[in-house]
Amino acid sequence: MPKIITTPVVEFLWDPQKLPDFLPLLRRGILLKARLGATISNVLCEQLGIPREYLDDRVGTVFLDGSAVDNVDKAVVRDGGALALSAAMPGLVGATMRKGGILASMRNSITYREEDPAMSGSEGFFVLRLYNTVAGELGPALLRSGVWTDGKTLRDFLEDAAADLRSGCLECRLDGNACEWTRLLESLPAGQDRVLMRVTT
Amino acid sequence: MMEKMLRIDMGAAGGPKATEVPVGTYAGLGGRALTSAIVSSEVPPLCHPLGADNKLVIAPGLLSGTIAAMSGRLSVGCKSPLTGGIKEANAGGQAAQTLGRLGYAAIVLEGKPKDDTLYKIIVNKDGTTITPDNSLKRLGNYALIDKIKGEYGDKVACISIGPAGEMKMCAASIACTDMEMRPTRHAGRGGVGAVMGSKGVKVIVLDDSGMKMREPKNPEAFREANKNWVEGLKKHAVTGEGLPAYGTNVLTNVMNEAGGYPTMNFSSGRFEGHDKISGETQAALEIKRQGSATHGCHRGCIIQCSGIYNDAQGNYLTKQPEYETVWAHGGHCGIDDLDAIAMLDRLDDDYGLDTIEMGVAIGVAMEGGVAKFGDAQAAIELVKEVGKGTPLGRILGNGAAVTGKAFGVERVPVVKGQALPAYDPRAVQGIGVTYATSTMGADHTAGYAVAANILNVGGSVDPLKPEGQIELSRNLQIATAAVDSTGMCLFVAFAVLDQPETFQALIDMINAFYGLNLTADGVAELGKSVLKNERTFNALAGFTSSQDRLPEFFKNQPLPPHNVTFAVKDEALDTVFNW
Repeated sequence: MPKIITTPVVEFLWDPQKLPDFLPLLRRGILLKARLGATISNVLCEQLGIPREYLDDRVGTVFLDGSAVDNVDKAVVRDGGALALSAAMPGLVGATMRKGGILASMRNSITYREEDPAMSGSEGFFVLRLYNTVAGELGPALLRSGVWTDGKTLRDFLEDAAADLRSGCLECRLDGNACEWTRLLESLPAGQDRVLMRVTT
Repeated sequence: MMEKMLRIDMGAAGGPKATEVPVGTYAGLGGRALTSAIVSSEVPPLCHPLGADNKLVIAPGLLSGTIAAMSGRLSVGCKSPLTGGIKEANAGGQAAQTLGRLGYAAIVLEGKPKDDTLYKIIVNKDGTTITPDNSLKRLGNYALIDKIKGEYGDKVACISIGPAGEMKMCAASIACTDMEMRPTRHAGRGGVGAVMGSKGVKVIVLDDSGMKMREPKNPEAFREANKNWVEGLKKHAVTGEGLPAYGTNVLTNVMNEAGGYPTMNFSSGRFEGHDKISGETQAALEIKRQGSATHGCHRGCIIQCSGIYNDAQGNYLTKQPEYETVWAHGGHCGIDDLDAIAMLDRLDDDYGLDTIEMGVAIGVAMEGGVAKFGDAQAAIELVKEVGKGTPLGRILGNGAAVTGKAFGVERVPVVKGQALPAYDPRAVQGIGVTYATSTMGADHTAGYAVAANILNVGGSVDPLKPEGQIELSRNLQIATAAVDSTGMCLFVAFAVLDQPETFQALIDMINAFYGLNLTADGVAELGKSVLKNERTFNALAGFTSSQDRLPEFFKNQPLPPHNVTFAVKDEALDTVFNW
C-alpha cells in the first residue's frame, strides 16, 4: 500500500485586536496555490481576488525572485517563485525601486526581465512575502481564506513569539479537532512538509 | 527677515569676539547654498581643516523660522577633515527654527583660540555672549544638555559637540537638540564636529524668547501655499503613511529583498537577520515598550518619521534609530539585535559621532579581525573605546578609511574618504554614480528624488541607455542642492517627486515669503550654482577626476545574490557635471 500523505490543517480563532501578531509570518513568506505561469496581475487580481486598483495604487514596490518589477502585466510567476509586495518606499533608492518609476533605470542591474511569457496554466505553489502597510492591508483576508507554510517556518514563528502570540489565541484546532498550543507545536511536521493554516477572528 | 549674520572670531586678540554683519552679497541664500558660498569664497581650499583659516558656517534654510511645515533643517558647512573637500552636513531638531527667528542667516565660526580653553556661546534677542567654561570638557552630549538645561531652562535650542568633536575625530558630528531638548539630531557627515572642536566651541545655546515667527512679504499667498504644501505631504503614501508608521527603517526588508542591502562589509546583498532589525519590527517594539513609532524631530514637522526607543524596562534609551544607523551598526556588522543597535545609536549621539561612519568603520574593523561579525557586545565596546579616546578608539573615530589602513583591509567602502551609506551601488548603479561624483564624498542624500521632468533640467532620460544613469544622477544632484538650500527636510522630496502641484507649492512659499518670482528653472539654476561652487572648491583643494570613483572592489567583486558588479564606465562618470 502506498503511504497517503495528507496536509495538516491548522485553524486559529484569534483576538481581532491582536491579528497584527501574524504580520512577521507574512514577512517571512507564506505559500499560496495558484495557476502559475501567469502574470503577477493575473495571479493576484484574477485568481486571489485582490482589487486591481489596490495593486496599482497601494502596492508601489514589487519584487519577483528578488528582482524589481516594473510591469505587473508582463512579469510571470512560476512554480516555486517568490513574489514580494510593499508600499512605495522613502529615500532616493526607495524611489528607484518603485514599479515603473521614473528612476527605475538607476537599478537596471537588478530589474526583472521576462524571458518566456508563455502561459502554462498548471497549478502550483509560490511564495508571497508582504511588507509594511501592504501586510496589514492584505494579510487578514489571506489568512482567513487559508495559506500554506512549511512546518518548520510555522513552528519557528510560533515558538519565537510564543508569549505574545498565545495571548491572542482564543482557540486552535488541528485537523478539525481542538488542540492545546503545546501539542500543536509538537504535532507540526518537521522540515519542508506543508501545513495549511487559517486564521479567523 | 534674516538680513544679518553673526561672525565669531575665536582667535581674536583679547578673546573670542562676535560681530553682527549684514548678509551683503550672500543675500537670498540659505542652508547649503549659503554654507557652500561662504566656504568656497572665504576658506582657502588648501588650508588645514582644523586650522585657523577654516570656517564653520551654521545656516538655517530660507524658510526656517517661519510657519512653513518641514522647514527645520540646519546646514553646517566647512572644509571637511574627513574628505579634504567642501562639506555640508545637515540636521533636524530645533536649532534652525530658533536661529531663523533670531534673525540670523548664519553663524560663522572663524579663527582659532590660542589655547585649549573650551567656550560656550549664548545667542538671544539681546546679543551674543561667549564664555570660557572648561567644566564642560569631555562631557557627553546628554550630560552637557542636562547642564545647559539647568542653567538656561528647557526652551532653548542647542548646537553642541561631544568628546569626539573635542578630540577632533574625523567621524565627529554636531548635535542639535530636538523638541524634548535631547541631543539626538546630528549633522553627522564629514567630521564637522571636529571643526567645531578645533574652534574651541562646545555648545551654542540659542534662546529665541521674545522673538516672533518670521513674517512673509505676502502673508496671504504664503498661508495658501503652505496649506497646499501640507495637503500634498499628507496625502502622499510615503510622507503621509509609510514614514509616520515605520520611519525610514521601513527600507530594511525591501532593500534586503532587492539584494542591495550591504551585509558584513559589503560582502553580500542579503542579511539573514534583516527582519529582526526591520522598521516593522522596530515600530512594534517601540509601541509595546510605551515609546513611540511616530514622532517629529522639530516643531512644524508633519511627516513624523522618527520615534522614541525605550529599553526593555520601558525607560528612554534613544530616539528611533533610522535606516542608515540600523544598517551601519546592524547588517553591515552582521548584528541583528535591535537593543544593541539602539545602544550604539545612543553612544554615538552622546559621544557626538556620525552613525554611518562609525558603523562602517566597525564593520571594516571586523573584517580586519578586531572583532567577529555579529558580535554586538564587541561593537558596543569598540564605540566606548572611541568615547574614551584610546589609541584603538582614535583609529575607529577617524572613520572607515583610516580603520581600513590600520588593519590592512582591502575592501574599504569609502569615496573621498567618506563611508558609503546603506545601498550597494552594484545593485543600484545609479546611486553609485552619485556616490562616486558627489562633491561631498559617498552620500546617499546628494542626489535625491526630485525628478528631471519636474525640474526640467537636462532633458528627458532614456532608461534603456547607460547614459541615463549619468543624466539622472546629474539632475538629482542639482535638485538636491536646491532643496538643501530651502531648509526643507529632504523627505519632502517623495511628495515633490510624484506631485508637481506640491513642488509648485514649495516654490510659491519661497516667492510669497521673499516677494520673488522664482520658477522651476530658477530652482535648477540655484542647484547648479551650489554644485559649481563646491566643485570649484574641491578642484582648488586638489581633487581630480580620480577622486570621482568607487573603490575598485565594486568593479571586480560580484555581489550576491544577483552577482553584479558596478558597470558604469569611468569616462561616463566624468560627464556627470557637463551641463
